[in-house]
Amino acid sequence: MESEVAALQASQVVQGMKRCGITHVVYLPGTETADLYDALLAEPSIILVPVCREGESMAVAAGLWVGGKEPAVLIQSTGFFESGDSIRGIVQPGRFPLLMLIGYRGWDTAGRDLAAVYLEPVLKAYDIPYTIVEGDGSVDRVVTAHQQAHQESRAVAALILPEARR
Amino acid sequence: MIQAEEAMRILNLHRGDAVVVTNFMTSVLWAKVSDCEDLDLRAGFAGAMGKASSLGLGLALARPDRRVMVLDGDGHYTRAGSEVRLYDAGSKELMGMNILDTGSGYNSQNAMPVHFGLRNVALVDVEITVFTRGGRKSIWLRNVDPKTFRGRHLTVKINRVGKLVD
Repeated sequence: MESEVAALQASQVVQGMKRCGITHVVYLPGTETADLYDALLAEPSIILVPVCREGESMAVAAGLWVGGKEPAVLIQSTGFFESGDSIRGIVQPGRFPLLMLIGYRGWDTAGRDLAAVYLEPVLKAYDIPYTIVEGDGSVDRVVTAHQQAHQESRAVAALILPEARR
Repeated sequence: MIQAEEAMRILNLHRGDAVVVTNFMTSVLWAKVSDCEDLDLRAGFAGAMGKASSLGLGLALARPDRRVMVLDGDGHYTRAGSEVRLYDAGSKELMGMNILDTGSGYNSQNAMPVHFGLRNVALVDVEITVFTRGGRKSIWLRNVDPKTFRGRHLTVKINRVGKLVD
């Protein structure tokens, strides 16, 4: 039952991405976004672009945007940390609208997983607005984050909590 | 050896209508020689280590109708690594095998020499397998004397089609 709900919610997030007009998802998913990845695989209108390192996802997304497409990236929080130099060197100075879907690893570990401890402070340090996607009602936050990315020509993150999949 | 600026001058003669993606330092040189700035794109708006090829890939995915040329730099190895095997000279007795990995590692790039611990300093045969457009190619160096390389490296240059370069 839990997995069915997770699949449903992942499907709803994908529907939200379709509403946003996302054409490509550049991805290296983690545990938190596994269901979302599966749902994306089943969605023919969105092209998945795999990368070997999350830092590449930012640059590939930038190239897609320059080429007239509407990319999003799908990575884990650890991958967000890995992407630091790409965010500094390409995403922020490029000021292109980018929806970052970030799996919030360790959010429920009460501070034992530093991947969770550092995520929001590092997002703030990079001046990247973010919203937390948890449960059915917050799926629309993905759409809102995308709208903000376009209105302000910047990267906006949607943090995917594991509970949003359960 | 041809200087980078001269190489770019020649590339510019042959660019046609290609979009040229440059990185931090190559942007400086390319700006001196390019005669079509409208089709030039700086991948590292403020410098991004080795991400020009990633951005170029995204652009090429978005616009497969356009030629995209990437002038990368800033710490990006552009060749796949190789496998290195040592054999007792004149035999098929494998003494050791190592991988020169130029960049598939997570969050790392590398061009460190591989190291072998030998049981003696007798002659060895060295097999180097590289990855070319035509598949795996092996280069053999016969009767290599390890004593000759005490305190230094054996450097082998192999071109893109898998031929030994002097």
